[in-house]
Amino acid sequence: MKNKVKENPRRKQETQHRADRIQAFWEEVQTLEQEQVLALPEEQRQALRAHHDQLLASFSRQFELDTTQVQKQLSLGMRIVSLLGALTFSAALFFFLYQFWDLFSTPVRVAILLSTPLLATVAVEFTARREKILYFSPILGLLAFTALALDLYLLRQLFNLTPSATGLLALTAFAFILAYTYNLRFLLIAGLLAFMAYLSAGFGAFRGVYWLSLGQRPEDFIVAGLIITGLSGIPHPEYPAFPRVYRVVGLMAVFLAVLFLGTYGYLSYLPLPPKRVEHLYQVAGFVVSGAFIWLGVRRRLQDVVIISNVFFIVFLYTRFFVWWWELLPAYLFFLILGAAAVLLLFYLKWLRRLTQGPQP
Amino acid sequence: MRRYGFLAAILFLVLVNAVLFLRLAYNRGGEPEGKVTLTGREVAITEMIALPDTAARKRPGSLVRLTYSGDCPWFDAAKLEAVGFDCRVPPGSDAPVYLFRMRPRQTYVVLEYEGPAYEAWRRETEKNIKDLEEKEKKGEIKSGEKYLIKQSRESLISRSRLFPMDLGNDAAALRQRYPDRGRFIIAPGLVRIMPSGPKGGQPRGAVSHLLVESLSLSDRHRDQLEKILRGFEVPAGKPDSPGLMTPEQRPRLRFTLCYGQNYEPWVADIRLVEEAK
Repeated sequence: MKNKVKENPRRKQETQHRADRIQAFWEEVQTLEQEQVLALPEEQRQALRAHHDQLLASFSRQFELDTTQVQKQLSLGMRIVSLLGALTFSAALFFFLYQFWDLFSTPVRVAILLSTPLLATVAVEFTARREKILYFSPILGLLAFTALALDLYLLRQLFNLTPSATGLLALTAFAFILAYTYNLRFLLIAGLLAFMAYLSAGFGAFRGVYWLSLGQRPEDFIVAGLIITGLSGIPHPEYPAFPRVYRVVGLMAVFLAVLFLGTYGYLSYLPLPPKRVEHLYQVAGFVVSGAFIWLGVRRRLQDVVIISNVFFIVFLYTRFFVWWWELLPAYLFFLILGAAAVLLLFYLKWLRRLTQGPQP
Repeated sequence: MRRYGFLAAILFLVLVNAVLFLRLAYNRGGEPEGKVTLTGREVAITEMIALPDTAARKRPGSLVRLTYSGDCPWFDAAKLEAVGFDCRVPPGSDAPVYLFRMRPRQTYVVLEYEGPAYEAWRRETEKNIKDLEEKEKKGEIKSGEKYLIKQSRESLISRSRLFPMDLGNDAAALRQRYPDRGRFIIAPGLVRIMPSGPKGGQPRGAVSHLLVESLSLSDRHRDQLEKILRGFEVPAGKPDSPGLMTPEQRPRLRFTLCYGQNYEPWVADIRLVEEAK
């Protein structure tokens, strides 16, 4: 039977919100009854409870929703295990080929390379049809992605072909197909990372530079990260969690590149002495993270506020360390860090107040 | 959406691999762009693989590596600019740092087998050895120079005779300039700018590496290589290991390399000749 969860993740999310509201409602009713503010007639109370129980049971049957706090915690644990499983299975495939590759004949190698991503994709479809919440499909999806990466890399090596950036584009397209077909966030992240690498390689290649030297100019990742963050603005009515993934991956790239350039200025495109470039990016780190905090608060994008805050603090403490660790006695250095933490708390309290306004 | 997505993923995988094999077929189709026979000095056997039945039984790995000289004194600022580097150092900037920051560029490298560049290097090395031997006779030699004599003598019999001698972004124009397909290889490679001269302010070019240096052997050629190596003396205490060739024996190995329409290589033949050239 076809499963509606994967076809309509938005509906699943709305249903989860309703289940959360029902749970909160009964907790509040219990509190109000204890405070003797509310006394529901027993008949009405039983009818309402029966209605809600029926609803929750139906949600659980249909969507395998978390209807209790314990279930929610278990689900989070399962997602973490699923991610670990995906990474370890991919590593297992890589090391298996690494260890035994030279023992296989060429036809066997070609057969392994061609069939592994195909079989993993079929397995994704097979498990996705059987799971209400996808825990095994992301593992197999990431395995299919790794298998395609190995397929492209090893076939190229097997037949002495020159490496090309189009391989990254192929990986991006494949990850996106799987991510949007099965609503898999891991695959979206993998696809976005491949896309970012492709964009960065493309910027270099446009200037005539060899595409594999893509990591040597972090500014390429700033542009690629901003493009990916911008893509989060595309409406995703069927995939409510995806815009957040775009924003987090894009902003991580931007902030990490700025952090890197604040330390290694000689990697910049800017025609300035490395020290000046470093100072420029050190200031840019605060300005950019501050700007994204403001934007996140204004647009009520919790993920943007959190990630920008984290990097604002990282930029600040990195500077403190570079400026004062050698110069100041340890007690004074940590005192300044403590004072900075108190100031940050005031600042975050102010931000918190801003977010308490009415929802748009 | 789900069903179409699954079919799209499967079709996409088929398409990606089909494109790769079409590219391979195009490269190897028709008359090779270049076909050159090199020796064991230019093509190195990089590794031996232990077979699973016994750790002592080994066979050659599936990869061999094309080796070539790194000397390219002709690679000056004009050549660098011809492949797209901007060699102007902005006034006031730290020239070596500025040049060092430039990223490598992809271009086509012309490699010549046993040409004038190799002969010049051989003559110079022989002269250096002779000079050092003279010093040794007079008792003026330092301990480091003794090692240099040994190293130079070894390089005369083991160093690759493949020398880069030109480069450019237009492979067809290079082939017109170097039409001998049995002596000149044209291969895609990476070149980079290096600071040189007084205070490192003068740009000089260097070949970083060729895009395909590790050459994968077909099963037939791998068996052939294993059979050849079994005819040589085996290392002591390892009766199941293939024989090791000494630097003097290595030039007896012949590797025929073909370069296809995309300037991508493959090993077309491996054989052993009786006498070292």
